[in-house]
Amino acid sequence: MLILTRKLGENIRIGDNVRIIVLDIKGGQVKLGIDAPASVAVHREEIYERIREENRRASGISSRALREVAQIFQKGRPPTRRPT
Amino acid sequence: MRIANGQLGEIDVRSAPALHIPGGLIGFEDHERYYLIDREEFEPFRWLVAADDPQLAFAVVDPDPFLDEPYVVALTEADRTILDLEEGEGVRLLALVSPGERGEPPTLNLKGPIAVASNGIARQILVYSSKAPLRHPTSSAHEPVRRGARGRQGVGVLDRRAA
Repeated sequence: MLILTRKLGENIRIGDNVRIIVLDIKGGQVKLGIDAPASVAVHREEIYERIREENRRASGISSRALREVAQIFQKGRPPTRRPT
Repeated sequence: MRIANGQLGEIDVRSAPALHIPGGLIGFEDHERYYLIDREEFEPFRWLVAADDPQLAFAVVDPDPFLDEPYVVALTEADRTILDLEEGEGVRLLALVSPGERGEPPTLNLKGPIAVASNGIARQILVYSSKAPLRHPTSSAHEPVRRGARGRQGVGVLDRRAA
């Protein structure tokens, strides 16, 4: 892993199109600005990891469990839905 | 053309809508092409079966009938670019269905829905709002689901066909 030390207001360039700017440092928090092309997705690591794990779980859904909940839905409606 | 899935058996995909997910789903980056499979017994849920690996299948559903309020998420410019959306064009949203924990019914992932453009391009998007749970219940095991005559209201969306 490449490790760089940056001061407030200094930047990091990644390739030709991505720039990361250190905007603020306070306590244990660093505020970063990210300039990247619209086609580059930028996400916080922790939500990305949660989705990855939930996708992995989702790939294990059983047809039996899905059929059961589908039957409940077809007979009635989800309990969270309010009458409209 | 037919593909075989361990849970769904043989599937005729000739008339199934095809989805292209550039870059794949998060954690499943190697699989970009899927078929959207409808079976009456699973309605309103649908199956997303990987075209290059039919053993890989996800269940998805339009989450609106399971919510008090319409499910609305914000797309980033990156999302719109990858989905190749026209100016002002919207998407349909599908929630991935996860197995329930400890015997509970399956849940809907509202934190990472799949946005589907009318051109068949789809993308898993990330929702940062704390109002969007990772595991939204499809029904409560502790509460009876049927609620008399009004109970059929959510069923109208079963006719909604997409992609």
